[in-house]
Amino acid sequence: MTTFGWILMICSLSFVVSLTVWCYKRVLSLPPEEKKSVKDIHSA
Amino acid sequence: MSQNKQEWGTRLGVILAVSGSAVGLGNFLRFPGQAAQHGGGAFMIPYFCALLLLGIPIGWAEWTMGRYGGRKGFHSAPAIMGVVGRGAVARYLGIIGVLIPLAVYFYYVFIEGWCLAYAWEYAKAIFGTPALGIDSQAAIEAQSAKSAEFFASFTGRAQDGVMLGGTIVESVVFWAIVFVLNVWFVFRGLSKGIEKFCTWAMPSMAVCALIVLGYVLTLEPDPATPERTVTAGLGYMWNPDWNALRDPGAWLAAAGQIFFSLSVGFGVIINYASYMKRKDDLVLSGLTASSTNELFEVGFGGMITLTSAFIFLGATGTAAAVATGSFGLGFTTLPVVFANMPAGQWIGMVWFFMLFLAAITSSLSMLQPAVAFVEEALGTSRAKATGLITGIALIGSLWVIWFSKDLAALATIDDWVGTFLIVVLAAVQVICFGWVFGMDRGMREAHEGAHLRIPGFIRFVIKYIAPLYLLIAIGMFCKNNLGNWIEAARANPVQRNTLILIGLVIVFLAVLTHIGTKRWRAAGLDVDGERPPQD
Repeated sequence: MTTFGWILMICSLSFVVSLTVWCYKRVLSLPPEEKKSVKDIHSA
Repeated sequence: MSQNKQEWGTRLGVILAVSGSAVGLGNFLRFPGQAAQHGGGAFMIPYFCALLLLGIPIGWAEWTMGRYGGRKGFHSAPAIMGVVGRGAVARYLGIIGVLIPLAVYFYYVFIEGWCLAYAWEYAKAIFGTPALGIDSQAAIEAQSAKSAEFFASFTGRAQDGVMLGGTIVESVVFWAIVFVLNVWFVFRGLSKGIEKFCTWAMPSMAVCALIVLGYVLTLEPDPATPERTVTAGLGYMWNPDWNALRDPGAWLAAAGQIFFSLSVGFGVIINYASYMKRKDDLVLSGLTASSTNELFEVGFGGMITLTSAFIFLGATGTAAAVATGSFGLGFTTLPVVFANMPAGQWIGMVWFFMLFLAAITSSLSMLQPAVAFVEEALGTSRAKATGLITGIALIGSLWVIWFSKDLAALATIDDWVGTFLIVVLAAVQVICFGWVFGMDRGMREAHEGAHLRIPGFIRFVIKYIAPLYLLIAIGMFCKNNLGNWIEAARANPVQRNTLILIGLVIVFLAVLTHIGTKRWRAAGLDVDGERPPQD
């Protein structure tokens, strides 16, 4: 594995992992009152 | 308009459902092959450019259009496109948004059955018999031949009709199982069916991927081939060939991979987002779903598939495997790798079960838009709509299984619908959003309830860059491929008749759109997007 191979792999992985962690951290830290109750309303 | 009011249970549930729709076999089998063929690590530069400039922005536009249509009481692509595109032309073009997932389901559910059946074969192998009949003591060439023979027989590639010829074929049994599973979860509805399943399946898929990744990265090379180390395997995937970036084909391939991987232009996001409420966030949700897909694609697909192939097959064997495409790599080459891997039957079972989860979370999303469309157009119950769509899907799927010789029917639908029409639908959507609906209104709508601001330059990207790219891609396809495809369809009766089948589905969807439009107008709904939402 060349130096550039390592750099590209580490940068790519760091980017996708950081983005995913950051997104889920934000989603999960949102106020709980905004979360809806689980339901399907069958009114037919 | 629909009699059954569906809605998502939680914000996380929507994200996992959209992520599940996006994460599929392409993340683990197509992406590494594309990267290896187009510059290795250098491929990541056009890949991430395409993600940031095309995939995520078009995804945001789809989420926005979907929720806007939902606020008007619509959940199907034709109705929503009619509202956003303000008229009948956009509405009838929106039929593509129902056709794509439904027609892709015809063959995707068959492939999904292969994944579950392979997982079952490896589970049986834990108790002794060699998986798929591959003898690890034989020469690699003999193992590859055995694996290819098993796959050909398993999928009925030798002859049409062989899968349904009266004897019980394992792949058909597993197809039936996964077909029923899909219908059951879709019938259960959004939150109780699709969302509940994805909330369980996505983390399970991540656990399976972590197990396989951890195992592959700690493999020791065979003493007979000490140069085939994990590091060398990673190098095969990641070492850059900068010259590849001079080839426009690498940039197009990167954009294509992003496009198909994120499920933009597929007709699913627009339907899923239509069940969100006005104050529900869609910017952060869209970004989170995209990032989840990227984690599976780059983090797992980019690290596992070719690395494991390299350790056991070397550079030449891996290159040959990549050249056989996703099916060859996934169902012929990797079984040889697992046969030679210590505890390969366990890893093979986990791997194919993970592929099955990736496939089923995608296929669940494929029936939902069509079911929602029938409910909406005919004003019928979910049970009846599911029954009608199940019947159509059954006919289409049996067609694919019957015409199994060289997988001709499957390939025809994949080419025309699963590849070409996706680009067409994305172009229609992005033009309607940027040029008819308007960027100012679009951004205002996207930011309703948003927990994240869309960067200003995305307006320019959605209005100019994305449509230009898509129109160029369609133009290049028409110039380079369309003539050959038409010629091939003329020469091959299976291809021709498969296209006729797709045509019949389009006619059926057009009739439903016509009926639905009349009903929606009679109910006083804003069919042509002339009024602001009332909520």
